[in-house]
Amino acid sequence: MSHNLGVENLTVLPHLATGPVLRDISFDVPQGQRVLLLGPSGAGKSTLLLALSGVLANLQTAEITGRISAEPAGLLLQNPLDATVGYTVFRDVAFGAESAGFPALTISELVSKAMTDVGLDHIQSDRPPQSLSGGELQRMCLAGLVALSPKVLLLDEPTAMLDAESAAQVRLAVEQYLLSSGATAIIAEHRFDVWVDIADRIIVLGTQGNILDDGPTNRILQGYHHQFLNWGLWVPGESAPALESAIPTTHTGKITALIGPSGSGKTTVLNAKLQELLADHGPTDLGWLPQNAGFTIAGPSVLASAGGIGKAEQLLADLGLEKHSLQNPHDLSGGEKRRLALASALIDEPKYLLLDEPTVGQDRRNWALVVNQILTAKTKGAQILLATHDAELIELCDEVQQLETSPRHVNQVGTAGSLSVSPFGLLGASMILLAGSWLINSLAAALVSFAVMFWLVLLVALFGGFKGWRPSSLKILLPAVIGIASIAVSNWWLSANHQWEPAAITALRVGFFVLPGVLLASQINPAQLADQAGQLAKLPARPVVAASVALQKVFDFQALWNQQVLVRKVRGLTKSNRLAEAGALTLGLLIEATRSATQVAIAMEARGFSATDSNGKRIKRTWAVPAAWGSRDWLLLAGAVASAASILLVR
Amino acid sequence: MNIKSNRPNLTWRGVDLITSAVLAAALGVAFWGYDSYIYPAVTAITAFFPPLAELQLGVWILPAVVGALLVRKPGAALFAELIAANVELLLGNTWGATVLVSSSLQALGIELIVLFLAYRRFNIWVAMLGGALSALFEVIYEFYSWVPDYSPAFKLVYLICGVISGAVVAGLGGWALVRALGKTGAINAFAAGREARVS
Repeated sequence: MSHNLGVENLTVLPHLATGPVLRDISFDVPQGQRVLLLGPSGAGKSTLLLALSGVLANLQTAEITGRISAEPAGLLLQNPLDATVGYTVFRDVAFGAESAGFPALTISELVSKAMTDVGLDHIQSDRPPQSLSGGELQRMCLAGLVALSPKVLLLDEPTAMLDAESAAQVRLAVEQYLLSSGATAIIAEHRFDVWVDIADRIIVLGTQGNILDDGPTNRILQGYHHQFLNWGLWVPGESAPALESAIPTTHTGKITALIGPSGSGKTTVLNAKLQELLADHGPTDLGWLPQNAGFTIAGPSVLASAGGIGKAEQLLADLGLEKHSLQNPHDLSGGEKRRLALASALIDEPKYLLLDEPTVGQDRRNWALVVNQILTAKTKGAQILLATHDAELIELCDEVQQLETSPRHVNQVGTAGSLSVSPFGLLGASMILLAGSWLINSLAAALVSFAVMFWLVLLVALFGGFKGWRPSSLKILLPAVIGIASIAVSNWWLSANHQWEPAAITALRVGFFVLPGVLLASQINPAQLADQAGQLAKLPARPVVAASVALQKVFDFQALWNQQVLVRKVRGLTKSNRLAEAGALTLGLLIEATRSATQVAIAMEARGFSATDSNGKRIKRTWAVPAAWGSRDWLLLAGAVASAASILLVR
Repeated sequence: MNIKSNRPNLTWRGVDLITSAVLAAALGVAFWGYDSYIYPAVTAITAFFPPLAELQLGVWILPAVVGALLVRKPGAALFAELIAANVELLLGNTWGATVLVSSSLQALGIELIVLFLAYRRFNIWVAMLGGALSALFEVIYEFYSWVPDYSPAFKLVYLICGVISGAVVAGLGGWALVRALGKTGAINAFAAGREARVS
């Protein structure tokens, strides 16, 4: 039998960790075998998959010893939104093929075949990925892997964030690829009922990051039934864990579940309800578990963050967090952070509770702890609205609100304008005006240049650059107008001899390039900018691509900022000193951004971002789409040159 | 734990590129967020007396300092600063594409300082000196383009306000931000993060 994946004495010690996450791991997997990787939380399953994919070595965040031999592998991650790296579905699926250096024509063939393979051929490839539902998004990520025909598929909790139906679609797509390609698969998943019937073999990892057992699926399932339940794994066929029976009282509250496929806008509805309650009742009656639990952290320790000694101690114990109470809350795992956030939402026994996916990422035991707390809050009279895709939890709710799927509206960078001038054309014209402004040396020259510049802006308008603009859109010019007025006044007032003419010339000179500059900049499409920087300016590909991916996250970060402002208001954390508040908000956003950056880095490295050839030389990246540059760019540049040159006539 | 090495590794890892790019983009968004926290009051005062506005110049230099302190490699300040400037362009700003000129200057100071120290020192003084030098370059540019007609005395006030802000807001602030980020364990993949954790 040919082995296409082998590990010998693999030990992984992350920088700063007190001990290895993986200890002395050895196993071989023959071509085509499907392996399920099971173990308690923190056993190092994700680390093992990262190591096998080669990403861990590229990240250089841990000391790796031992030997890994693997054919090229594709790695599918838990949260497809983090793993999204393209402005459009096409560009996202093409990312791996671009890293591998395929020519553009081949890439577009590979992409359309891969989209068909995962059952997404009906999706328009120029849609922004964020407009897809969670299940579609995960299959899009799979298509990005499948496009390169990997001999090994590594799946890290690929269905944990998905509702049952979406999860089934992902499984089907994976299974079809495995069947048609004969690829090997290694799958880690807490709720492994999705995968158990396609698995040939189970490798069991222990709490120490070592292999406890390794054998055929049936033998392991029978032998480890109790061990798995003890670890809190969701063993298939077992019913939901037993809950404390709550005694109904006269003032018992109600639990309403908000359900719908991933991506149907549950979070949006929940947040709207929150705003409404906040306006009507104020923050003291409200408890909120937001999507990003990290924002609720307030204090140097878990205990302090939950509300300090007293009631919080009991609550932490009830949620299985007592052994972490003195730890830095930022060091908690994702699931633990959600429970801490729940504790801080419950601490003041609020009348209204809004919970966004309270059970996601919880193992069986912690699931019961979380649900018990929700039920207790209900008997104490709380009105609870929760967004969830968890079937066991939905069953316990009093009322269910189903949301319909509708294509998500996506606020995407660089799609506002329909101006077909490329970013280099826009920036080039801005720079020509900037250079030309130095020719302005008299009031007459300044006024003439302004008149010509007006025609230039009209030219852009004729191109359709301001389509969809309303008079109110002009407010983007307001800061510039204030700035120019300030320049005019201060250059007069703060000058040595208070002459108005030089000050007016200075202000008009600035206005000459700033006003059109702001309008032109608003039309820049960052995806095109990256393509031009890489292909026309021949800037190094990796920084250009990293910058382009980061710029895509801008609207996500805006949403995060707003969510954070709201969380701090609801939790009563808002500082009265505005400067201090801005500092706290900045640090909070940066922490979340860095965390997402780590996931993005993994997703990009898993698709060959830093890949080298057999000689250790970096593979030259190709571009799936040629850089835009056309006659309108020349026309705009010519217009800018003409505006600048007109100044010469009146100097 | 001794983490100092004699020969700094100056080639960029993937995680250097991606983390600093994402952090810079997030800082750009934070600047946008300040619209509702700090700026309205500040704008009103400083529109009539721009020398005082230079006291917030350091805010715009923050990404450069944070990039340099985090990545510790040539070009880190420029890379981060240019990305933050692009976020400004996307979200709408005062000065249009000229922010690309200013941001190059705002990165130059700190780049020169860390180069001069051969990428071996990244302490609070380096950050403050870098922030101040970056601010100096920017102010000189502004002398020519924004405030050419000021009297020498007001130019001096303008310069002092800008340089103080570069040292304090960008230098001290950037250093504190990287350190606070390091303490949360979010940047353990970087020497800056590991140093913040062990000290």
